[in-house]
Amino acid sequence: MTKRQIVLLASRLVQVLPVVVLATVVIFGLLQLVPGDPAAVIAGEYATAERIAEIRHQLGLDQPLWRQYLGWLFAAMHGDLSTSLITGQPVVEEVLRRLPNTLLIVCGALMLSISVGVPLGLTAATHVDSPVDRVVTTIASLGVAVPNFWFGMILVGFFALGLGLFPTTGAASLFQDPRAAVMHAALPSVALAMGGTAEIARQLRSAMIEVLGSQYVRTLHAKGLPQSSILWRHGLKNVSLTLLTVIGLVFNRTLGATVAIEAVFAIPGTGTLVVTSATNKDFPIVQGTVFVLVMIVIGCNLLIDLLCTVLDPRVDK
Amino acid sequence: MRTATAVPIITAHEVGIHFPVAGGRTLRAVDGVSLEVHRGETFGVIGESGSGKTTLGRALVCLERPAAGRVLHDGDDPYRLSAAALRRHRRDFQVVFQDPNAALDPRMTILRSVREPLDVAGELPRAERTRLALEMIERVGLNPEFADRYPHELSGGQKQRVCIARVLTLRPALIVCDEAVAALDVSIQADILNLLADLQREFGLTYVFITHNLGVVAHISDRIAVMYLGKIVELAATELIEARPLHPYTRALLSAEPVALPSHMRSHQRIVLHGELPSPVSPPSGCRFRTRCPMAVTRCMQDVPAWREVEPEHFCACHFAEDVGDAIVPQRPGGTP
Amino acid sequence: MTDALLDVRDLSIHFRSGAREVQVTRKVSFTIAPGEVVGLVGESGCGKTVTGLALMGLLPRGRSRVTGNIFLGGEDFAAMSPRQMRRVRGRRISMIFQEPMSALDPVFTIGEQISETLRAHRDVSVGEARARAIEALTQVGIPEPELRYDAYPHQLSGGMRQRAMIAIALVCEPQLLIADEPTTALDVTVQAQIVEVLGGLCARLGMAMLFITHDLGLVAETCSRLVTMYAGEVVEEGHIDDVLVRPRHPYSSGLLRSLPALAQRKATLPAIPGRVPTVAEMPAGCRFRPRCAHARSVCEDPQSLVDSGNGHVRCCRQEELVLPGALRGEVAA
Repeated sequence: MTKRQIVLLASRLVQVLPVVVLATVVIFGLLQLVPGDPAAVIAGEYATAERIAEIRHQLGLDQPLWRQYLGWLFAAMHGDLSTSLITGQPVVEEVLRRLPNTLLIVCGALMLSISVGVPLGLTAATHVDSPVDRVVTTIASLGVAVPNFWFGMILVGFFALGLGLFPTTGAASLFQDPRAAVMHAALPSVALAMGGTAEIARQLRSAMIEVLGSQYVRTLHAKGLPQSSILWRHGLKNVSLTLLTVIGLVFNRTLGATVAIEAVFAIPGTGTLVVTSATNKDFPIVQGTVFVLVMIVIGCNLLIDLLCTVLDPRVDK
Repeated sequence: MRTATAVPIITAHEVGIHFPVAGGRTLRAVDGVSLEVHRGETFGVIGESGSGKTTLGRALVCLERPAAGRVLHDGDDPYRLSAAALRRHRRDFQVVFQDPNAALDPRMTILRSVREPLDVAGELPRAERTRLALEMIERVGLNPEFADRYPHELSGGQKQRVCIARVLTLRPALIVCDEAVAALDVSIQADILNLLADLQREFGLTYVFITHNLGVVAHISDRIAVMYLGKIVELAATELIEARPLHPYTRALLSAEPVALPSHMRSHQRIVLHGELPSPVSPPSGCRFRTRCPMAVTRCMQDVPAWREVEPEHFCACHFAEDVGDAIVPQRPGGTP
Repeated sequence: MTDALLDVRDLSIHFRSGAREVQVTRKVSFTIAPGEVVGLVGESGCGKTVTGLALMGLLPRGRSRVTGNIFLGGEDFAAMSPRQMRRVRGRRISMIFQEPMSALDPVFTIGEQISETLRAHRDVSVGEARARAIEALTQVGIPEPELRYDAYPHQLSGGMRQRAMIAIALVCEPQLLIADEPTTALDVTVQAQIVEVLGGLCARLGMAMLFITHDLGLVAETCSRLVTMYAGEVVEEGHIDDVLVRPRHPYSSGLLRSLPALAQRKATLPAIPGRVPTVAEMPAGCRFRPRCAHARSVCEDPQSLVDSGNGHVRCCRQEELVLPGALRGEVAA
């Protein structure tokens, strides 16, 4: 790694700090806008005004907003995301219990998207305007247009209810029963993967077409390189940046799409956790879950950014 | 042709144009350039990429405000004018660029493109503006039926004619031609050069002709300025530059230009400069050309060569201009015998 | 000519789009002797570059059709399969292009791009390929070749990039190099450097070169023979000095006389009126007829390339016309 790249990496890390601050401010601020007084909820319907005030003081709700924020942020950085208003359990434990279920289907979907989308995109790019290309582009357009929860319901109807190959709902722990966990995650992953596969295939196709039509590819032909080397060595390395960026995008979208998919498959993941806590006005849970998810997204984007910096020799100009 | 007492149409005095670049440093694209352009002449500026010739051209017609020095038009500072007066004043100073494709709006008919400057000026009734525009389209040698066509229906040479017609509608006093024929094939280029010469006679135009092509600049110009890394290194009448170049860079440039002559007619030895053009952000100390100059000595590293009139009307910035001038110099076929 | 290295015979190139097919070049024939440097000139749209690409077998197979023969060392390249052609490209015949920045892969170092060419054609180890690549970089005059081996194209100047491009083309020591406007994108002083490098390499390696350019000055300084193309046809071929002094075809003469460097200063340049016809507006008979000052009714008949004594010309009036060349009348006389 060159000195220049190290400097760039460091500056990317510094650049991400304001994003984190802004994200936490928004997460903290959003809940202030929600109607209703959490202290009143905790105290119950028949509590006296003194009791509510006492709870307010315990929770620090009588402090000025900026102190509340700093306190919350400081605690959050130490892994303390407060406790659930309903169960009294620490939020962190609740989120961490649900997170593996979500990450399992997201990662499954991502791997499916890449392993199907990349060959599809490359095949289409090397056969532009052929029937193969038209089939791929049509599938890709459909994949973007069809809602994934609807696709999920079709999958359940056919593979789970009809053929009985997979369980219809629920999840299993990857650590205790890996086989059951994978079987449970299979259909939701496929449903989630559809949009990402289409996106990766489409973007990779157009990026690869551009590369294959470029003047340097003409040079590669002029040098007498075999087609395979032109496609896999030069072509893939040149589109790798586009591919990485698209994968990052697909990861973010897939994570967001879990809310609907977890509902369809009744998976106890972070998506369902947010939905149920919001209806129960269990704000610390909502806040904590969103916080964790946002941090994952920021971390993932940072990772992609760093990879691009390392991979692209042109960044140091 | 001109009298010594006439006020030059453009006077540049120690003009510097600076651009901020990454790392808080300054790129001195043009650095301490002084020149005079006289009314009715063709003033050639020759230089390679990075020499600052385009930036200088822009500064001469108030498209770039100098960070140092002054640009005077007819002896007056145009930046003293009010904003509205400066806008009106700028109409007298027009630019024709290298790429006519970029200069023409693809969705505008030729007539509208040519009429546009008049429309913007908005001083004449519409019918009169159209008449003037059509007149110019014909004057630059285009069939009037082109008026309703779009740029993509025209060839490169025809598009460049349209660009010339467009700047002519405002009846400018001076036109900066920035590589205006560089993108054209030789036969088309000859056509455009002929047209520019005709227009100069007819409208009494003054040209500042910026190019990297020595053959073109020597053919059309009365005087030539040679630029290197933001500075003018030599300035003289075309015949003097060709017959007796005083700066080593000018000599190298002259010798590097390929000439279509049979081998027995090509007497000169090509001087191939070694090394690369230094970065204009951190130019060499002393003389900027010293890193590539075959004659450089220690003194060139320390002293910035003064801009001086080495011979009458022949300016040069080289410590050893006299020695260069006395060396044997290639005779170009096109020059005055 | 039996001792020719390259013998192009009746090379016609057609481009297809859908059911339509247009002819881009018609029966192009010329030869290049071993070690000879030949200039191919003409305005844009005359078919110079497509001819170069056709020699390399680089025209898109599905959208073009090439007829005629391309003999290199006795073998007909036009009859080769794509697989055979690939083995020849970069090894026996190489090509360099106008824009060295876009012609080099931006995400591979120039060293990698040179050594992979070698490894595609020769059975050499990675270490040996590296050594040969560094040697090639030295040959094209790149300073500190060991360091530059690991440089990416964007880290080099335009002139250095074109040198790297030349190093790629010559690493397998081809018999023929096709240089398509290799200096057009470069400054005059850099152009002089590149021309010097190319000339030196041809002399040292005994490599022949087809120099495609629009610049007659460059041809005069680098080539021994000149082939002029107009509207997809060869119109004149001959020794460079002969053509410069006494061009036989009105188009060659017109090109020379358009050059401002050769004209009297400030004089009106004798430009060629009109422009190169498109395929749709191609005239019958002599293709240059609409732009030619010497056209007569005989020129409406198709013209063939005939021997002119010391070259070939496609003009039926070549014997009666005395056309001006690079020198003004009084000097030539």
